Amino acid sequence: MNFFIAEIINAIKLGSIYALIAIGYSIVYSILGLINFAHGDLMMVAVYSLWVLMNLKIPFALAVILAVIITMLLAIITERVAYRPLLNNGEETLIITSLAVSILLQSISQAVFGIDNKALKVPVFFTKRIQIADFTVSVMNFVILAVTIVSVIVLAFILKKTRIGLAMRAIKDNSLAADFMGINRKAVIVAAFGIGSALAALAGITYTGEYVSFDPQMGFMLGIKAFIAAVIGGLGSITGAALGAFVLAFLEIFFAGYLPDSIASYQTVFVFLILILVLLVRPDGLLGKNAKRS
Amino acid sequence: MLKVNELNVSYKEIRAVRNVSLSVERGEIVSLIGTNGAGKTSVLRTLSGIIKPESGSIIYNGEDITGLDAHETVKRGIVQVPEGRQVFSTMTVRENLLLGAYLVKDKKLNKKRIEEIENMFPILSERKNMLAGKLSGGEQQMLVIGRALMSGGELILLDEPSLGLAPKVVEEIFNIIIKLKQMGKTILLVEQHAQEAIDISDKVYVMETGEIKKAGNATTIGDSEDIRSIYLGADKTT
Ligand SMILES: Nc1ncnc2c1ncn2[C@@H]1O[C@H](COP(=O)(O)OP(=O)(O)O)[C@@H](O)[C@H]1O
Ligand SMILES: [Mg+2]
Repeated sequence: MNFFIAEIINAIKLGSIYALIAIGYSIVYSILGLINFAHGDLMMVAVYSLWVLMNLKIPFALAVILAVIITMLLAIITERVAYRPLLNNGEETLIITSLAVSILLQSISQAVFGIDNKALKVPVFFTKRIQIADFTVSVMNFVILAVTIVSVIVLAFILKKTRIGLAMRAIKDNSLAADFMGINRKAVIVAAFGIGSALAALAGITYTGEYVSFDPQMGFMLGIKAFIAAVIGGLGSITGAALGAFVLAFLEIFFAGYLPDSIASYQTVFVFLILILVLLVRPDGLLGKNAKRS
Repeated sequence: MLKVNELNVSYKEIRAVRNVSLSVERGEIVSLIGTNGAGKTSVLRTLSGIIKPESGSIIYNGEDITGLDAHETVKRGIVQVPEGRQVFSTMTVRENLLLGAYLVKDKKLNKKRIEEIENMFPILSERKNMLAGKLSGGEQQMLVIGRALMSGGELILLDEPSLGLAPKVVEEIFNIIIKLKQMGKTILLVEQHAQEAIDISDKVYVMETGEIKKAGNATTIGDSEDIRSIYLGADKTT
Protein backbone atom coordinates (compact mmCIF):
# COMPACT_ATOMS: atom_id res chain seq x y z
CA MET A 1 0.00 0.00 0.00
CA ASN A 2 2.75 2.42 0.94
CA PHE A 3 4.59 1.56 -2.24
CA PHE A 4 1.42 2.29 -4.19
CA ILE A 5 1.01 5.72 -2.60
CA ALA A 6 4.68 6.53 -3.08
CA GLU A 7 4.27 5.66 -6.75
CA ILE A 8 1.30 7.99 -7.02
CA ILE A 9 3.34 10.81 -5.52
CA ASN A 10 6.13 10.10 -8.01
CA ALA A 11 3.67 10.08 -10.89
CA ILE A 12 2.15 13.41 -9.86
CA LYS A 13 5.62 14.91 -9.62
CA LEU A 14 6.69 13.65 -13.02
CA GLY A 15 3.31 14.52 -14.54
CA SER A 16 3.59 18.10 -13.28
CA ILE A 17 6.97 18.51 -14.94
CA TYR A 18 5.83 16.91 -18.20
CA ALA A 19 2.77 19.18 -18.10
CA LEU A 20 4.86 22.36 -17.91
CA ILE A 21 6.91 21.27 -20.91
CA ALA A 22 3.98 19.87 -22.90
CA ILE A 23 1.90 23.02 -22.45
CA GLY A 24 4.77 25.07 -23.86
CA TYR A 25 4.95 22.75 -26.89
CA SER A 26 1.24 23.16 -27.42
CA ILE A 27 1.22 26.95 -27.17
CA VAL A 28 3.95 27.37 -29.75
CA TYR A 29 2.35 24.73 -31.97
CA SER A 30 -1.09 26.30 -31.85
CA ILE A 31 0.25 29.70 -32.90
CA LEU A 32 2.87 28.68 -35.47
CA GLY A 33 2.07 25.13 -36.43
CA LEU A 34 5.70 24.54 -35.41
CA ILE A 35 6.73 21.40 -33.56
CA ASN A 36 9.69 22.93 -31.81
CA PHE A 37 12.14 20.15 -31.07
CA ALA A 38 14.47 22.64 -29.40
CA HIS A 39 11.82 23.24 -26.75
CA GLY A 40 13.24 20.59 -24.40
CA ASP A 41 16.72 22.05 -24.63
CA LEU A 42 15.44 25.31 -23.17
CA MET A 43 15.19 23.41 -19.87
CA MET A 44 18.88 22.67 -20.10
CA VAL A 45 19.62 26.33 -20.86
CA ALA A 46 17.67 27.37 -17.76
CA VAL A 47 19.46 24.90 -15.52
CA TYR A 48 22.96 25.85 -16.74
CA SER A 49 22.09 29.53 -16.38
CA LEU A 50 20.91 28.93 -12.84
CA TRP A 51 24.04 26.91 -12.04
CA VAL A 52 26.33 29.67 -13.33
CA LEU A 53 24.39 32.36 -11.47
CA MET A 54 24.51 30.38 -8.23
CA ASN A 55 28.25 29.92 -8.65
CA LEU A 56 28.44 33.70 -8.92
CA LYS A 57 26.86 33.75 -5.45
CA ILE A 58 23.69 35.41 -6.63
CA PRO A 59 20.87 34.71 -4.15
CA PHE A 60 18.81 31.66 -5.15
CA ALA A 61 15.46 33.38 -5.72
CA LEU A 62 17.02 36.10 -7.87
CA ALA A 63 19.09 33.52 -9.73
CA VAL A 64 15.94 31.55 -10.58
CA ILE A 65 14.22 34.66 -11.91
CA LEU A 66 17.26 35.61 -13.98
CA ALA A 67 17.62 32.07 -15.32
CA VAL A 68 13.99 32.13 -16.49
CA ILE A 69 14.51 35.51 -18.14
CA ILE A 70 17.71 34.38 -19.88
CA THR A 71 15.87 31.33 -21.23
CA MET A 72 13.00 33.47 -22.50
CA LEU A 73 15.41 35.85 -24.22
CA LEU A 74 17.25 32.99 -25.87
CA ALA A 75 13.96 31.50 -27.09
CA ILE A 76 12.88 34.85 -28.52
CA ILE A 77 16.26 35.26 -30.23
CA THR A 78 16.03 31.80 -31.83
CA GLU A 79 12.55 32.71 -33.07
CA ARG A 80 13.93 35.87 -34.59
CA VAL A 81 17.03 34.45 -36.29
CA ALA A 82 16.05 30.84 -37.01
CA TYR A 83 12.28 30.52 -37.43
CA ARG A 84 10.95 33.89 -38.59
CA PRO A 85 12.91 34.00 -41.85
CA LEU A 86 11.54 30.53 -42.70
CA LEU A 87 7.92 31.06 -41.64
CA ASN A 88 6.59 30.73 -45.17
CA ASN A 89 8.71 27.74 -46.10
CA GLY A 90 6.40 25.09 -44.72
CA GLU A 91 6.17 22.93 -41.64
CA GLU A 92 8.90 20.46 -42.66
CA THR A 93 11.51 23.20 -42.97
CA LEU A 94 10.61 24.55 -39.55
CA ILE A 95 10.79 21.13 -37.90
CA ILE A 96 14.23 20.44 -39.37
CA THR A 97 15.35 23.91 -38.30
CA SER A 98 14.18 23.25 -34.76
CA LEU A 99 16.18 20.01 -34.70
CA ALA A 100 19.21 21.99 -35.83
CA VAL A 101 18.64 24.56 -33.08
CA SER A 102 18.34 21.71 -30.57
CA ILE A 103 21.65 20.17 -31.64
CA LEU A 104 23.30 23.59 -31.68
CA LEU A 105 22.21 24.39 -28.12
CA GLN A 106 23.47 21.02 -26.89
CA SER A 107 26.80 21.42 -28.69
CA ILE A 108 27.38 24.90 -27.34
CA SER A 109 26.61 23.71 -23.86
CA GLN A 110 29.02 20.77 -24.26
CA ALA A 111 31.74 23.00 -25.60
CA VAL A 112 31.42 25.49 -22.77
CA PHE A 113 30.63 23.24 -19.80
CA GLY A 114 31.81 19.78 -20.87
CA ILE A 115 29.75 16.62 -21.29
CA ASP A 116 30.00 15.38 -17.71
CA ASN A 117 27.11 15.43 -15.24
CA LYS A 118 26.91 18.32 -12.84
CA ALA A 119 24.87 18.64 -9.68
CA LEU A 120 22.50 21.46 -8.85
CA LYS A 121 22.46 22.14 -5.13
CA VAL A 122 19.23 23.92 -4.27
CA PRO A 123 18.94 25.48 -0.78
CA VAL A 124 18.43 22.83 1.93
CA PHE A 125 14.94 24.11 2.60
CA PHE A 126 13.73 22.41 -0.59
CA THR A 127 15.22 19.04 0.28
CA LYS A 128 13.65 18.92 3.74
CA ARG A 129 11.23 16.06 4.11
CA ILE A 130 7.79 16.49 5.58
CA GLN A 131 6.13 13.64 7.45
CA ILE A 132 2.62 12.85 6.23
CA ALA A 133 1.02 9.80 7.88
CA ASP A 134 3.37 6.95 7.12
CA PHE A 135 5.73 8.62 4.76
CA THR A 136 7.87 11.60 4.08
CA VAL A 137 7.62 13.87 1.09
CA SER A 138 10.24 16.45 0.16
CA VAL A 139 9.35 20.14 0.09
CA MET A 140 10.47 20.09 -3.55
CA ASN A 141 7.55 17.78 -4.36
CA PHE A 142 5.12 20.42 -3.18
CA VAL A 143 7.04 23.14 -4.95
CA ILE A 144 6.83 21.25 -8.24
CA LEU A 145 3.09 20.76 -7.92
CA ALA A 146 2.57 24.37 -6.83
CA VAL A 147 4.66 25.75 -9.70
CA THR A 148 2.61 23.74 -12.18
CA ILE A 149 -0.73 24.72 -10.69
CA VAL A 150 0.17 28.40 -10.48
CA SER A 151 1.57 28.37 -14.02
CA VAL A 152 -1.63 26.84 -15.36
CA ILE A 153 -3.77 29.39 -13.52
CA VAL A 154 -1.67 32.30 -14.76
CA LEU A 155 -1.78 30.92 -18.27
CA ALA A 156 -5.56 30.45 -18.14
CA PHE A 157 -5.87 34.05 -16.97
CA ILE A 158 -3.66 35.32 -19.80
CA LEU A 159 -5.62 33.37 -22.40
CA LYS A 160 -9.06 34.35 -21.08
CA LYS A 161 -8.59 37.89 -19.89
CA THR A 162 -5.80 39.64 -21.74
CA ARG A 163 -5.58 41.12 -25.21
CA ILE A 164 -2.58 39.01 -26.17
CA GLY A 165 -4.41 35.91 -24.88
CA LEU A 166 -7.46 36.76 -26.99
CA ALA A 167 -5.15 37.15 -29.98
CA MET A 168 -3.53 33.77 -29.27
CA ARG A 169 -6.86 32.00 -29.15
CA ALA A 170 -7.98 33.82 -32.30
CA ILE A 171 -4.89 32.71 -34.24
CA LYS A 172 -5.34 29.15 -33.06
CA ASP A 173 -9.00 29.21 -34.06
CA ASN A 174 -8.62 30.85 -37.47
CA SER A 175 -5.31 32.42 -38.38
CA LEU A 176 -6.59 33.95 -41.62
CA ALA A 177 -9.45 35.68 -39.82
CA ALA A 178 -6.98 36.84 -37.17
CA ASP A 179 -4.93 38.51 -39.90
CA PHE A 180 -8.07 40.26 -41.15
CA MET A 181 -8.67 41.62 -37.62
CA GLY A 182 -5.32 43.36 -37.74
CA ILE A 183 -3.65 41.05 -35.24
CA ASN A 184 0.08 41.30 -35.73
CA ARG A 185 0.99 37.65 -35.85
CA LYS A 186 4.71 38.25 -35.40
CA ALA A 187 4.14 39.93 -32.04
CA VAL A 188 1.89 37.11 -30.87
CA ILE A 189 4.47 34.53 -31.96
CA VAL A 190 7.07 36.28 -29.82
CA ALA A 191 4.66 36.16 -26.86
CA ALA A 192 4.04 32.44 -27.47
CA PHE A 193 7.77 31.74 -27.45
CA GLY A 194 8.16 33.83 -24.32
CA ILE A 195 5.44 31.99 -22.41
CA GLY A 196 6.45 28.55 -23.68
CA SER A 197 10.10 29.07 -22.79
CA ALA A 198 9.28 30.41 -19.32
CA LEU A 199 7.33 27.20 -18.66
CA ALA A 200 10.21 25.09 -20.00
CA ALA A 201 12.64 26.97 -17.77
CA LEU A 202 10.49 26.34 -14.70
CA ALA A 203 10.21 22.67 -15.67
CA GLY A 204 13.97 22.33 -16.06
CA ILE A 205 14.71 24.03 -12.77
CA THR A 206 12.16 22.09 -10.75
CA TYR A 207 13.16 18.81 -12.41
CA THR A 208 16.84 19.32 -11.64
CA GLY A 209 15.97 20.67 -8.20
CA GLU A 210 14.41 17.28 -7.52
CA TYR A 211 16.74 14.90 -9.37
CA VAL A 212 19.93 17.00 -8.87
CA SER A 213 22.08 15.79 -11.76
CA PHE A 214 22.11 17.50 -15.14
CA ASP A 215 24.07 17.46 -18.41
CA PRO A 216 23.85 19.05 -21.87
CA GLN A 217 21.55 16.29 -23.14
CA MET A 218 19.09 16.49 -20.26
CA GLY A 219 16.41 18.28 -22.29
CA PHE A 220 16.33 15.87 -25.18
CA MET A 221 14.54 12.82 -23.76
CA LEU A 222 12.36 14.92 -21.45
CA GLY A 223 11.41 17.09 -24.41
CA ILE A 224 10.51 14.06 -26.51
CA LYS A 225 8.39 12.61 -23.72
CA ALA A 226 6.59 15.88 -23.13
CA PHE A 227 6.03 16.13 -26.87
CA ILE A 228 4.49 12.66 -26.79
CA ALA A 229 2.31 13.80 -23.88
CA ALA A 230 1.16 16.78 -25.92
CA VAL A 231 0.34 14.55 -28.88
CA ILE A 232 -1.52 12.04 -26.69
CA GLY A 233 -3.58 14.87 -25.24
CA GLY A 234 -4.14 16.51 -28.63
CA LEU A 235 -1.45 18.81 -29.99
CA GLY A 236 -2.49 22.45 -29.71
CA SER A 237 -4.86 21.87 -26.80
CA ILE A 238 -3.56 23.11 -23.47
CA THR A 239 -5.88 21.03 -21.31
CA GLY A 240 -4.99 18.12 -23.56
CA ALA A 241 -1.28 18.69 -22.97
CA ALA A 242 -1.78 18.66 -19.20
CA LEU A 243 -3.98 15.57 -19.37
CA GLY A 244 -1.54 13.77 -21.67
CA ALA A 245 1.33 14.64 -19.32
CA PHE A 246 -0.34 13.00 -16.33
CA VAL A 247 -1.56 9.98 -18.30
CA LEU A 248 1.98 9.43 -19.55
CA ALA A 249 3.60 9.94 -16.15
CA PHE A 250 1.23 7.54 -14.39
CA LEU A 251 1.67 4.81 -16.98
CA GLU A 252 5.43 5.25 -17.04
CA ILE A 253 5.83 5.17 -13.25
CA PHE A 254 3.48 2.22 -12.82
CA PHE A 255 5.12 0.25 -15.63
CA ALA A 256 8.47 0.73 -13.97
CA GLY A 257 7.11 -0.01 -10.52
CA TYR A 258 4.91 -3.02 -11.11
CA LEU A 259 6.24 -4.91 -14.09
CA PRO A 260 8.86 -7.61 -13.50
CA ASP A 261 12.36 -6.13 -13.37
CA SER A 262 13.37 -7.89 -16.54
CA ILE A 263 11.01 -5.77 -18.67
CA ALA A 264 10.52 -2.72 -16.45
CA SER A 265 13.69 -1.18 -17.83
CA TYR A 266 11.94 -0.90 -21.17
CA GLN A 267 9.63 1.81 -19.83
CA THR A 268 10.52 4.18 -22.67
CA VAL A 269 9.42 1.56 -25.17
CA PHE A 270 6.06 1.47 -23.40
CA VAL A 271 5.79 5.23 -23.70
CA PHE A 272 6.09 4.98 -27.46
CA LEU A 273 3.68 2.04 -27.56
CA ILE A 274 1.10 4.11 -25.69
CA LEU A 275 1.54 6.92 -28.17
CA ILE A 276 0.96 4.58 -31.10
CA LEU A 277 -2.10 3.02 -29.46
CA VAL A 278 -3.69 6.37 -28.63
CA LEU A 279 -3.11 7.68 -32.12
CA LEU A 280 -4.60 4.54 -33.68
CA VAL A 281 -7.82 5.10 -31.76
CA ARG A 282 -7.82 8.90 -31.78
CA PRO A 283 -5.60 10.35 -34.48
CA ASP A 284 -6.08 13.87 -33.08
CA GLY A 285 -5.26 12.86 -29.50
CA LEU A 286 -7.52 12.63 -26.48
CA LEU A 287 -8.83 16.22 -26.60
CA GLY A 288 -7.65 17.18 -30.05
CA LYS A 289 -10.84 17.78 -32.03
CA ASN A 290 -9.95 21.39 -32.63
CA ALA A 291 -6.23 21.10 -33.00
CA LYS A 292 -4.90 23.09 -35.89
CA ARG A 293 -3.93 20.74 -38.66
CA SER A 294 -2.27 22.81 -41.34
CA MET B 1 -10.84 57.61 -51.14
CA LEU B 2 -9.28 54.49 -52.66
CA LYS B 3 -7.29 54.43 -55.86
CA VAL B 4 -5.78 51.27 -57.26
CA ASN B 5 -3.37 51.58 -60.18
CA GLU B 6 -2.19 48.78 -62.45
CA LEU B 7 -2.25 46.15 -59.74
CA ASN B 8 -0.65 42.78 -60.49
CA VAL B 9 -0.86 39.82 -58.13
CA SER B 10 0.64 36.37 -58.66
CA TYR B 11 0.63 33.06 -56.84
CA LYS B 12 3.91 31.37 -57.75
CA GLU B 13 3.35 30.74 -61.50
CA ILE B 14 -0.24 31.95 -61.89
CA ARG B 15 -0.95 35.63 -62.35
CA ALA B 16 -4.35 36.05 -60.71
CA VAL B 17 -4.69 39.83 -61.10
CA ARG B 18 -3.54 41.71 -64.21
CA ASN B 19 -3.20 45.47 -64.40
CA VAL B 20 -6.28 46.13 -62.34
CA SER B 21 -7.10 49.80 -61.79
CA LEU B 22 -10.15 50.98 -59.93
CA SER B 23 -11.30 53.76 -57.69
CA VAL B 24 -13.82 54.15 -54.90
CA GLU B 25 -15.12 57.52 -53.72
CA ARG B 26 -16.19 58.24 -50.15
CA GLY B 27 -19.77 57.14 -49.45
CA GLU B 28 -20.11 54.98 -52.55
CA ILE B 29 -21.03 51.38 -53.01
CA VAL B 30 -18.75 49.96 -55.68
CA SER B 31 -19.21 46.41 -56.94
CA LEU B 32 -16.68 44.06 -58.40
CA ILE B 33 -18.44 41.25 -60.22
CA GLY B 34 -17.21 38.34 -62.27
CA THR B 35 -17.24 34.58 -62.47
CA ASN B 36 -15.46 32.20 -60.12
CA GLY B 37 -11.70 32.43 -60.35
CA ALA B 38 -11.75 35.88 -61.96
CA GLY B 39 -9.44 37.24 -59.27
CA LYS B 40 -11.88 39.24 -57.14
CA THR B 41 -10.80 37.76 -53.81
CA SER B 42 -7.17 38.25 -54.76
CA VAL B 43 -7.83 41.96 -55.33
CA LEU B 44 -9.57 42.39 -51.96
CA ARG B 45 -6.89 40.46 -50.07
CA THR B 46 -4.20 42.57 -51.64
CA LEU B 47 -6.02 45.74 -50.59
CA SER B 48 -6.08 44.45 -47.00
CA GLY B 49 -2.42 43.48 -47.10
CA ILE B 50 -3.02 39.76 -46.62
CA ILE B 51 -1.18 39.12 -49.86
CA LYS B 52 1.42 41.37 -51.47
CA PRO B 53 1.19 42.70 -55.02
CA GLU B 54 3.87 42.10 -57.63
CA SER B 55 3.50 45.64 -58.91
CA GLY B 56 1.09 48.52 -58.97
CA SER B 57 0.00 50.90 -56.26
CA ILE B 58 -2.79 51.30 -53.73
CA ILE B 59 -3.53 54.83 -52.57
CA TYR B 60 -5.88 55.28 -49.61
CA ASN B 61 -6.85 58.78 -48.49
CA GLY B 62 -3.87 60.12 -50.37
CA GLU B 63 -1.39 57.76 -48.73
CA ASP B 64 0.49 55.02 -50.55
CA ILE B 65 -0.35 51.85 -48.64
CA THR B 66 0.95 49.34 -51.19
CA GLY B 67 2.38 46.26 -49.49
CA LEU B 68 1.49 47.24 -45.93
CA ASP B 69 0.60 44.39 -43.56
CA ALA B 70 -3.01 43.82 -42.56
CA HIS B 71 -2.56 45.33 -39.11
CA GLU B 72 -1.44 48.54 -40.82
CA THR B 73 -4.34 48.71 -43.28
CA VAL B 74 -6.91 47.96 -40.55
CA LYS B 75 -5.40 50.74 -38.45
CA ARG B 76 -5.95 53.13 -41.38
CA GLY B 77 -9.62 52.18 -41.67
CA ILE B 78 -9.77 49.44 -44.30
CA VAL B 79 -11.65 46.47 -42.95
CA GLN B 80 -12.65 43.27 -44.69
CA VAL B 81 -15.53 40.85 -44.34
CA PRO B 82 -13.81 37.81 -45.82
CA GLU B 83 -15.13 35.24 -48.24
CA GLY B 84 -16.62 32.23 -46.47
CA ARG B 85 -17.34 34.40 -43.40
CA GLN B 86 -14.39 33.13 -41.35
CA VAL B 87 -15.88 33.43 -37.88
CA PHE B 88 -13.79 32.34 -34.90
CA SER B 89 -15.91 29.24 -34.50
CA THR B 90 -14.64 28.05 -31.10
CA MET B 91 -15.06 31.49 -29.55
CA THR B 92 -18.22 33.21 -28.38
CA VAL B 93 -20.20 35.72 -30.41
CA ARG B 94 -19.12 38.46 -28.00
CA GLU B 95 -15.44 37.49 -28.29
CA ASN B 96 -15.77 37.57 -32.07
CA LEU B 97 -17.04 41.14 -31.86
CA LEU B 98 -14.25 42.12 -29.49
CA LEU B 99 -11.69 40.70 -31.89
CA GLY B 100 -13.06 43.04 -34.54
CA ALA B 101 -11.95 45.88 -32.26
CA TYR B 102 -8.53 44.34 -31.65
CA LEU B 103 -6.71 47.54 -32.63
CA VAL B 104 -9.17 49.85 -30.83
CA LYS B 105 -7.87 50.34 -27.32
CA ASP B 106 -10.61 52.71 -26.14
CA LYS B 107 -12.81 50.45 -23.97
CA LYS B 108 -15.68 52.94 -23.75
CA LEU B 109 -15.79 53.27 -27.51
CA ASN B 110 -15.86 49.48 -27.88
CA LYS B 111 -18.73 49.23 -25.45
CA LYS B 112 -20.70 51.84 -27.34
CA ARG B 113 -20.03 50.11 -30.65
CA ILE B 114 -21.12 46.74 -29.26
CA GLU B 115 -24.39 48.35 -28.18
CA GLU B 116 -24.92 49.89 -31.61
CA ILE B 117 -24.15 46.65 -33.40
CA GLU B 118 -26.41 44.64 -31.11
CA ASN B 119 -29.19 47.14 -31.81
CA MET B 120 -28.65 46.62 -35.49
CA PHE B 121 -28.46 42.81 -35.14
CA PRO B 122 -30.46 41.85 -32.01
CA ILE B 123 -29.66 38.17 -32.64
CA LEU B 124 -26.02 38.87 -31.76
CA SER B 125 -27.11 40.09 -28.35
CA GLU B 126 -29.40 37.09 -27.79
CA ARG B 127 -26.60 34.70 -28.73
CA LYS B 128 -23.70 36.62 -27.23
CA ASN B 129 -22.43 33.65 -25.20
CA MET B 130 -22.95 31.09 -27.93
CA LEU B 131 -19.98 29.74 -29.89
CA ALA B 132 -19.88 31.42 -33.28
CA GLY B 133 -19.53 28.04 -35.00
CA LYS B 134 -23.01 27.13 -33.78
CA LEU B 135 -24.73 30.04 -35.56
CA SER B 136 -26.58 29.62 -38.85
CA GLY B 137 -24.96 30.90 -42.04
CA GLY B 138 -27.03 34.09 -42.06
CA GLU B 139 -26.29 34.79 -38.40
CA GLN B 140 -22.59 34.22 -39.01
CA GLN B 141 -22.70 36.71 -41.86
CA MET B 142 -24.28 39.31 -39.55
CA LEU B 143 -21.63 38.52 -36.98
CA VAL B 144 -18.75 39.12 -39.37
CA ILE B 145 -20.32 42.35 -40.62
CA GLY B 146 -20.74 43.44 -36.99
CA ARG B 147 -17.16 42.36 -36.31
CA ALA B 148 -15.97 44.55 -39.17
CA LEU B 149 -17.96 47.52 -37.82
CA MET B 150 -16.23 47.09 -34.45
CA SER B 151 -12.97 48.22 -36.03
CA GLY B 152 -14.53 51.59 -36.83
CA GLY B 153 -13.15 51.23 -40.37
CA GLU B 154 -14.56 53.53 -43.00
CA LEU B 155 -13.93 51.44 -46.06
CA ILE B 156 -15.56 48.02 -45.84
CA LEU B 157 -14.50 45.32 -48.28
CA LEU B 158 -17.23 42.68 -48.56
CA ASP B 159 -16.23 39.43 -50.25
CA GLU B 160 -19.32 37.52 -51.38
CA PRO B 161 -21.40 38.15 -48.28
CA SER B 162 -24.38 36.28 -49.76
CA LEU B 163 -22.45 33.12 -50.60
CA GLY B 164 -24.37 29.97 -49.69
CA LEU B 165 -27.30 31.76 -48.06
CA ALA B 166 -31.02 31.17 -48.63
CA PRO B 167 -32.75 33.73 -50.94
CA LYS B 168 -34.58 35.39 -48.07
CA VAL B 169 -31.35 35.84 -46.14
CA VAL B 170 -29.58 37.14 -49.25
CA GLU B 171 -32.21 39.86 -49.46
CA GLU B 172 -31.59 40.72 -45.83
CA ILE B 173 -27.84 40.96 -46.42
CA PHE B 174 -28.36 43.38 -49.30
CA ASN B 175 -30.59 45.51 -47.08
CA ILE B 176 -27.81 45.56 -44.50
CA ILE B 177 -25.33 46.72 -47.14
CA ILE B 178 -27.65 49.61 -48.01
CA LYS B 179 -27.85 50.41 -44.30
CA LEU B 180 -24.05 50.48 -44.06
CA LYS B 181 -24.00 53.07 -46.80
CA GLN B 182 -26.59 55.13 -44.94
CA MET B 183 -24.36 54.95 -41.88
CA GLY B 184 -21.72 56.72 -43.95
CA LYS B 185 -19.54 53.73 -44.74
CA THR B 186 -17.87 53.27 -48.09
CA ILE B 187 -18.24 49.84 -49.60
CA LEU B 188 -16.36 47.74 -52.09
CA LEU B 189 -18.55 44.71 -52.75
CA VAL B 190 -17.63 41.47 -54.47
CA GLU B 191 -20.68 39.47 -55.50
CA GLN B 192 -21.91 36.56 -57.58
CA HIS B 193 -25.47 37.85 -57.29
CA ALA B 194 -24.65 40.35 -60.04
CA GLN B 195 -28.10 41.84 -60.57
CA GLU B 196 -28.70 42.66 -56.91
CA ALA B 197 -25.20 44.07 -56.61
CA ILE B 198 -25.60 46.27 -59.68
CA ASP B 199 -28.93 47.53 -58.37
CA ILE B 200 -27.46 48.97 -55.20
CA SER B 201 -24.14 50.16 -56.65
CA ASP B 202 -22.91 53.57 -57.69
CA LYS B 203 -20.25 52.01 -59.84
CA VAL B 204 -19.58 48.52 -61.17
CA TYR B 205 -16.40 46.80 -62.35
CA VAL B 206 -16.59 43.54 -64.24
CA MET B 207 -13.63 41.23 -63.88
CA GLU B 208 -12.65 38.28 -66.04
CA THR B 209 -9.52 36.12 -65.84
CA GLY B 210 -7.67 38.65 -63.75
CA GLU B 211 -8.56 41.74 -65.76
CA ILE B 212 -11.15 44.48 -65.52
CA LYS B 213 -13.21 43.99 -68.67
CA LYS B 214 -15.79 46.70 -68.12
CA ALA B 215 -16.48 49.57 -65.81
CA GLY B 216 -19.44 51.85 -65.53
CA ASN B 217 -22.34 53.01 -63.46
CA ALA B 218 -25.26 50.81 -62.55
CA THR B 219 -27.35 51.78 -65.60
CA THR B 220 -24.72 51.34 -68.29
CA ILE B 221 -23.51 48.02 -66.92
CA GLY B 222 -27.00 46.75 -66.19
CA ASP B 223 -28.12 47.51 -69.75
CA SER B 224 -25.03 46.29 -71.52
CA GLU B 225 -25.89 43.26 -73.65
CA ASP B 226 -22.87 41.03 -73.10
CA ILE B 227 -22.98 41.59 -69.34
CA ARG B 228 -26.64 40.65 -69.35
CA SER B 229 -26.01 37.42 -71.21
CA ILE B 230 -22.87 36.33 -69.37
CA TYR B 231 -23.39 37.42 -65.79
CA LEU B 232 -27.03 38.14 -65.27
CA GLY B 233 -28.09 35.09 -67.28
CA ALA B 234 -25.70 32.90 -65.36
CA ASP B 235 -26.90 34.51 -62.18
CA LYS B 236 -30.45 33.31 -62.77
CA THR B 237 -29.49 29.71 -63.33
CA THR B 238 -27.62 29.46 -60.03
N1 LIG C 1 -3.65 30.73 -52.52
C1 LIG C 1 -3.66 30.53 -53.85
N2 LIG C 1 -2.65 29.84 -54.44
C2 LIG C 1 -2.64 29.65 -55.78
N3 LIG C 1 -3.59 30.10 -56.61
C3 LIG C 1 -4.62 30.78 -56.09
C4 LIG C 1 -4.71 31.04 -54.69
N4 LIG C 1 -5.83 31.75 -54.44
C5 LIG C 1 -6.42 31.93 -55.65
N5 LIG C 1 -5.70 31.36 -56.64
C6 LIG C 1 -6.00 31.36 -58.08
O1 LIG C 1 -6.09 32.71 -58.48
C7 LIG C 1 -7.19 32.88 -59.38
C8 LIG C 1 -8.13 33.94 -58.81
O2 LIG C 1 -8.73 33.44 -57.61
P1 LIG C 1 -9.66 34.35 -56.70
O3 LIG C 1 -8.99 35.65 -56.48
O4 LIG C 1 -10.02 33.55 -55.53
O5 LIG C 1 -10.92 34.55 -57.65
P2 LIG C 1 -12.43 34.90 -57.31
O6 LIG C 1 -12.50 35.45 -55.93
O7 LIG C 1 -12.82 35.88 -58.36
O8 LIG C 1 -13.20 33.62 -57.43
C9 LIG C 1 -7.83 31.52 -59.54
O9 LIG C 1 -7.33 30.95 -60.72
C10 LIG C 1 -7.35 30.75 -58.35
O10 LIG C 1 -7.25 29.38 -58.65
MG1 LIG D 1 -13.56 34.83 -54.34
